[in-house]
Amino acid sequence: MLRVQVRNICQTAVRNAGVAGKGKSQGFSKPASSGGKAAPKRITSTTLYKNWPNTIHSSKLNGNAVQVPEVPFFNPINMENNMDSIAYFNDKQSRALRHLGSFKKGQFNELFVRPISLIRKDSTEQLWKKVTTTDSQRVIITGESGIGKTSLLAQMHACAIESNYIVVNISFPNLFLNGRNDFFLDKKLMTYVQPMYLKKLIRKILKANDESLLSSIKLSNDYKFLKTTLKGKDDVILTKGKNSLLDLLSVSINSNLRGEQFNGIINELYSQKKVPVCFSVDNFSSMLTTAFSEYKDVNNKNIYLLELQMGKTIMDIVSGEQKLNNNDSFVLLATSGVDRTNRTLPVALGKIPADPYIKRDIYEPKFVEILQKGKVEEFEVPKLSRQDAKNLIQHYINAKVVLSRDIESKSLDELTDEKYFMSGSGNPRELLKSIVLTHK
Amino acid sequence: MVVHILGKAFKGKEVIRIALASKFYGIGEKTATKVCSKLGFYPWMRMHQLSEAQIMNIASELSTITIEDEARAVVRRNIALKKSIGTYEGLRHVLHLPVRGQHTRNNARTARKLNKLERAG
Amino acid sequence: MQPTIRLLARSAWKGPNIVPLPIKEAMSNGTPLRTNARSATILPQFVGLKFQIHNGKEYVPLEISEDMVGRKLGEFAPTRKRLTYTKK
Repeated sequence: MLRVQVRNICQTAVRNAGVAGKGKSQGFSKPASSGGKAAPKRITSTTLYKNWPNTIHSSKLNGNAVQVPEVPFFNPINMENNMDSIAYFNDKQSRALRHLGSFKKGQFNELFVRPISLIRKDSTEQLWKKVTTTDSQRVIITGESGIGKTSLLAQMHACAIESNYIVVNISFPNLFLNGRNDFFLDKKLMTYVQPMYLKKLIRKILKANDESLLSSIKLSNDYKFLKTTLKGKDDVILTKGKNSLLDLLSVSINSNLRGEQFNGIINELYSQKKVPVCFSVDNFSSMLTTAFSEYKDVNNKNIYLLELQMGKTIMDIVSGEQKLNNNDSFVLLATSGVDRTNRTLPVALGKIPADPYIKRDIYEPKFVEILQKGKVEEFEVPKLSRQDAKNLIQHYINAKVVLSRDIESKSLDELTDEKYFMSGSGNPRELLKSIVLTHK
Repeated sequence: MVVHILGKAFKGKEVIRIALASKFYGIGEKTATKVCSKLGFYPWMRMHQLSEAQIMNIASELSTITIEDEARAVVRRNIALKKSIGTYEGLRHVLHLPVRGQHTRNNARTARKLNKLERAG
Repeated sequence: MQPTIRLLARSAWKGPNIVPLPIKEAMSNGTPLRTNARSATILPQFVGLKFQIHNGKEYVPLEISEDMVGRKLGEFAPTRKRLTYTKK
């Protein structure tokens, strides 16, 4: 019975999602007409056997979602109006957040027309106050799986974008740890550089931030890069005081120089005092738990995280080796429920005593040193209150994702009581799951 | 996109270390990983990403390892030695029977097929 | 008889299985060494000696060559006969 239901849902999804085109083009060359917007992902009957979570995330299923009227936009400057209610990100925020990779699969964003966000006094406002007004420049967001750490990070990004911050987000550190991007040993920088990854990251920084903001930062150093084209070699020269950070971000150079370019970008970002910088790392726990990446050096030994350029850069920013010259700048780290856990983070936050006789796999003393040197503070995401859950369920009913059986048989208060209990007293993901994934 | 290394053809989409391990007799996952990391390839690099020079490098690296016919010859030599000094293992090879104490009442198909002085496979 | 498995099973720290045998006498006399110690490892000192190894029924004669070093004595004395059909 369940299977038949599931198949029905899948088939409607297939029907609604779009018509399958002709066969996929073969080979590794890009299709000739790749200009303009990317077409929505085709879903065919065979798609169902592929990685389904990836497919629903990227196939724009939210085009079929029900429009909910009168949902306000999130206004970070004047947060009071949004307080304890559901908000959409406005177009500017959404665009930036999409480029930053703040929305992730598994967040059920495909159920709604736009990603929704619950603005809360004790998480959103408090964290924003914490990072902007007090001394703490480095905060790590913790909390149980599904509690909304990534969503909170997305809200912080929106706040930072609206408050004219430059936002740099590392959305998924595994991408530079799992050995699926190319790398080489840069003799000049003496670190392992990953050109393919850096290209995407630099593009993200460029696209997510306001161009006028980036061009207002003048370079403090001269840069000279080489560019080889079919016609010949070209020198790309950026002069200090004249060219801006925008030029450094958008410059097109040989891929083996991208490590220098990225180092330059980070140095320029942090040496200037004009514009505050919001640097954030999601899934930071995956960095803390994999001290040795999948990459292998010439002697077939796994490369240590701090020998990779990305790992070193992030850890320097976290430890404070890379000075934040603007006083408003802050660093946000977020753990993830899907990652392995070990003792590094609890020891660094002073929750449990350090045990020197423990395996490096479970406890990495160097990372603890780095976290403590940077005076990283913890911010634990609180659970939903009953009122929050009620607001959310009201929105879910408006968005027509709640079963009509549930709506007809119970009042809102009864439904809230039941689902709030089922969500483990206020875990947002469990709440939504208990509503959506009960089609029996 | 077919890449040829030492006379073997590889599809472009194959992961280098897995492809090497699966195509060459005498190279397993471990040796293949070693070769790849020595030449500075990242773990999930694929065949179509190799340049001419890198293919040459792989070929020269493989030529230092005993693979294919040489590796098979080593196995044959070892069996022949066991036979020539008259051990029980050599005897079992000659008789097309299991060498390591398996029962022979039924089955023993693999041994009957493979266990010879000139071992096939 | 599973000589290979026994070799693999033996820890390195134990070293070879050394069984006290009257090698000196055998060397001086040139007489075959009659022994039941099938599990004794063949040592380099044995090379050139003559052995008679028990196979459960009788003693199989054997002269040790250099290639045999490191194996067990029992490997060279099969304990079972090959099945043959006899016509009456």
